[in-house]
Amino acid sequence: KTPASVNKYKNFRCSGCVTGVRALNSRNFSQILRSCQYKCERHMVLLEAEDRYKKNILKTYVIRQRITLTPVKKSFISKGK
Amino acid sequence: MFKDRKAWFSQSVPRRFCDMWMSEGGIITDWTTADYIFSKDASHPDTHRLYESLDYSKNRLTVFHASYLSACEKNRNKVAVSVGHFVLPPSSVQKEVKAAVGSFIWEKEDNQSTKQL
Ligand SMILES: [Zn+2]
Repeated sequence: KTPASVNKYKNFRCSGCVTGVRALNSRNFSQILRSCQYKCERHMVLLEAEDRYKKNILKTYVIRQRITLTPVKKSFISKGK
Repeated sequence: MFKDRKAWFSQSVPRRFCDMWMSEGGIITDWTTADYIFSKDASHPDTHRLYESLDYSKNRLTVFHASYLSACEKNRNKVAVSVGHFVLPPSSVQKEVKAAVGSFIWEKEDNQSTKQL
């Protein structure tokens, strides 16, 4: 890469960078970023790191659900007896 | 500037930002109904709780750093400040992003304001 192209890349602004506060908020920001085909370096790195974090959160949700569901079933069975 | 916009503020955010939001016509509400979610500290319990919510993991919630508001204050009448640069992710995500592409814009803002003080 020539310094010029590096510079160009660094100054590149994606939808996450240019969408104004009137159109963007805490509820839609993630979707706006996701639907942007060419993300700037910073937003791309952020999205990837967040996705890994979110995956883990969802995993613990599933595990927690299994844990809470199992005792309910058991107590239901013992009541039935 | 923020007319009829609903925001939630973490307890980590200085009171003056909440006042500024309201003086600009904004409304303060709870996090489940707010359109804008502001915090200054990702590890504050009230903010950390949001990162563990389904809203966050299902891409329906982004926390913004409250220094966006001080940037707005400073840049009044100038080019609008991009709120997309003020994302405040969980602490572990912050570390990853910093290692890859350097400091967050709000870290610089924070340093500047401490220098000014
Ligand atoms: Zn960007």
